[in-house]
Order: sequence, then C-alpha cells, then structure tokens
Amino acid sequence: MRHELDLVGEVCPVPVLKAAEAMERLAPGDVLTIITDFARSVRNLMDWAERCGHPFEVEELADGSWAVHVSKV
Amino acid sequence: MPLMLLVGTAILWRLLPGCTAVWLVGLGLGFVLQRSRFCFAAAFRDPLLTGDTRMLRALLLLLFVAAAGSSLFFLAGTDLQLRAWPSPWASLAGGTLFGIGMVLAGACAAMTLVRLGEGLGVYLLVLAAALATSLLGAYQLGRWPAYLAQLRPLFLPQFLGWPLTALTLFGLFLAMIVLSFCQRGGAKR
Repeated sequence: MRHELDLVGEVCPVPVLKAAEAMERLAPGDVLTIITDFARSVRNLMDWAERCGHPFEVEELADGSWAVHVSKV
Repeated sequence: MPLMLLVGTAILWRLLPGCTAVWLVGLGLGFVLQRSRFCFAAAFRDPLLTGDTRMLRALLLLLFVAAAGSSLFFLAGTDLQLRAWPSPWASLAGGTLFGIGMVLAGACAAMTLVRLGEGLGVYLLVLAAALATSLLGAYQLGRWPAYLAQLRPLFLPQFLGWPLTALTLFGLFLAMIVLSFCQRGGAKR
C-alpha cells in the first residue's frame, strides 16, 4: 500500500520524526511518500532511511519541493 | 543567476571597490553553506534526538581547523588581537536561550539567511526576531563593561602557554571525535 505524508512548511527535525512515527504503523512492503520543501530535511530523511535499512528514492517535484519515497522492509 | 551575480559584482567594483573581496568571500561561503546542507542546529540536536553525530563531527573538525590555524599564528608570534572575555552566568543563560530558539526555528543565524535565500518565507519571521533581539542586546551592552571588568577572564594560553594549549585542544578534539564515532550506530528511529 502507498501512504503519503504532506509535510510542506515543516522545518527540521519535524519531517524525519513524523516519518519515523508513520513508518511504525506501516506493514512491510508498504511505501511511504514524504513531501517536503525543506532541503535539509531531504538529507535527514535519506540518512534516516539508510540507517534503518529502508530502500528510498528522491524525486524533485519542482524547484524547492521534493518527494521522498521510502519502502518499509 | 550567474549573470546577475556577475553584473552585481561589476557594479560593486565600480562603486565600492574595497568591498568586492568581502562580497566574493561572502558569496563563496553562502554557496558552500547552502550546497553542503551544513546545519549547526543539527550538530547539537541530532546526537540527542536521533543519535546521528555526523554533523557534530563536522562541527568539531571545523573548530579544530580554526583552533589549529589560529594557534599557528600565535606560535609564530603574530598578535591576532583576540580578546578573552570572562564567561559569567550570562553567557550560559544567553547560550541556552539561543539554543532553544535555534532548535525551534530549525536553523542558526547563518542558516536562517541561507533558507531565506532558498525562498522559505517563514524565515523572514526568524530573521526579524533575531534582529530585534540582537538590537535589544546591543542596546543593553553599555551596562555590561563595568560588571565584566570585575571578573577575571580565564584565557588558557596565559596559564599553559601556546604549545601546550594547542596540544590540549588537539587531544580534546581527538577524544571527542573518537567518542562520537563510537556512537555512530545510534538509536534507530
């Protein structure tokens, strides 16, 4: 299943904390898409996904807007 | 964008040639800060919040390079005209206040400017608050010298001499960097 978390306007460290919280409720194989406009949070989300071993993909939606797709393992 | 910068630099060169070097250094610093996603707030917050010490290590490295660089000047006998101020409780209280503000805003003073440049309008509010409080601080500063003069500053090189100070600093930074590496795994959240 795909889940989306719209975190536009949230600053560090809120996006990574909310993503971690949402991830706990997901089942293995689910994909969580986090939308953010905070550049530093993209880096934080990538680091967090890597630490937890979740595969991820970053998509640039527009200038200054990103979607991070994280698959739960 | 590069064209705008070029034209801006040319205009500055015509009007205020003395400021051009500072302007260029500022541009370079801004570019590096933005592209590296360097974050002083993350350096202090992440080790406690997520167990990630990478930014803290980067900050320690930066402090070490700065300390090593200025130590070289002192060892060579150049006076950098640095003044040691006593650190009373006010510094501690001010640091705590600044830290709380930094974590709430998600950016320190330098990164507020970077994020404003990125187009995050909410940082206009952060900048306005930072300017207002700095102004208040500057306004109050006149009352402090008399109080500060009563306190004796602790300037490490005066006690240990420069070579030993440099060695102590190097040892401390090395220990901190090793310690932060040990925690690298951190808590997985």
